[in-house]
Amino acid sequence: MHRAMRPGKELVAASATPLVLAILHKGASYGYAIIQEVRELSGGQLEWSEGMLYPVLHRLEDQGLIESYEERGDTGRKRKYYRLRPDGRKALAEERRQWDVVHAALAKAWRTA
Amino acid sequence: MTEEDEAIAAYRAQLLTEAELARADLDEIEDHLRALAAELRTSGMPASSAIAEAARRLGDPKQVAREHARVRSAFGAKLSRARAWSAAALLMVPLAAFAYEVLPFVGPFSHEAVEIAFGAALVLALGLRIGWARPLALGGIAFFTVLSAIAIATSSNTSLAWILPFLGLLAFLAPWRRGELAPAGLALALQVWAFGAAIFALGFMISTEDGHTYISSGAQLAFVTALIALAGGVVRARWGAIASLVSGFALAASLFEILQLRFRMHDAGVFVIAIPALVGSGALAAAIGALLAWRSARSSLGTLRGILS
Repeated sequence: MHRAMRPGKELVAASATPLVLAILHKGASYGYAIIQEVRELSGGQLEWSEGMLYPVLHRLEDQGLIESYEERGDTGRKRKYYRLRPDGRKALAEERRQWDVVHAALAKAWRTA
Repeated sequence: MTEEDEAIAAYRAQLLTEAELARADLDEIEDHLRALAAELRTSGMPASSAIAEAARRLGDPKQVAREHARVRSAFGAKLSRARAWSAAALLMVPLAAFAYEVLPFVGPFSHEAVEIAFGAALVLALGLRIGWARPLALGGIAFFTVLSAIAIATSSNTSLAWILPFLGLLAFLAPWRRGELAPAGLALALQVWAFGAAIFALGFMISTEDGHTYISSGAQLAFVTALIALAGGVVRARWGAIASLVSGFALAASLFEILQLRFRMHDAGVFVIAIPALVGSGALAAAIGALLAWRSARSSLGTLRGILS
């Protein structure tokens, strides 16, 4: 019997930017909470290497798509939060359009397969 | 200090051995470790195992640090302290020797003094591990090493010992791993090469039939535009990419101009090897650098953000 496999590294990496942008579109969040949300959204199928989330966040910040600010978290310690910037909203719309194209093409291909 | 604090301090120390992360980045990783360990404890894991499991899930600290450092500088991975300081020390030796040799005879406003000031700034930036310093030094040293190698090959007056410090410098500056230099860093290194080629091309005087002497206009344009391209490369502006493309065309034009000197050259070896190799490669480097700089540009005007990181 063929065992269901989790999405591969490349697919996980490619989906990181749209997922982070989509999660932050709902509201500001921080690294650990973002990882938790990705796990919930994917039903545990998308396994992110946790330490690799931060370079993604910092790259998006460097590109001006998101911005960070510090606030005291529930433990009383300072916590770094991220929120979407206007350019991030545009980038998210574009990411969504591109993934819709890919999804539609795959759906058609599989219907005829 | 609790067991958790000790484990976190050890993880932070391991991150720092690989790359110099900002305190804010370290705090962010620590926050993640603590949150994950707390969740594991809530789910029933003993406290002593929870922090170890959290660290395992976060990933190998060396790899995490490398990824952070790569992202944090737009020009590529930061050099480790050992490599950066070794390179800065090696670069300081010929610079100090040059300064000792020429400064007593030239004024503070001479071009030699300006070159020494630029060199000193580069040594300082390398030592401080500022992102753009490495590709700038890499491109410059690579060009100078090739120039010296050609001089050694074509002239009996130049000693092989002259080239050794530069080979050492290259060993410290060259990327050892794939992806160590980001496209913006590679663009900058190529643009420095083009700048070196422009300076080389400026050294050729062209004599006209009516007895006048002038410097290749292509080389002059290449020099100015390559300098602009370097400034644009540091701030990651699209205008830098355009300047780089212009310098590529100008270098190609200057190569054509210099080749007109064919029958006036005394040393055919220098002519056959050095000019096409150095000026031609400069034109190519400027063109590839322009493409990379365009693709990695932050915006049309560029940004000063992170310029000192």
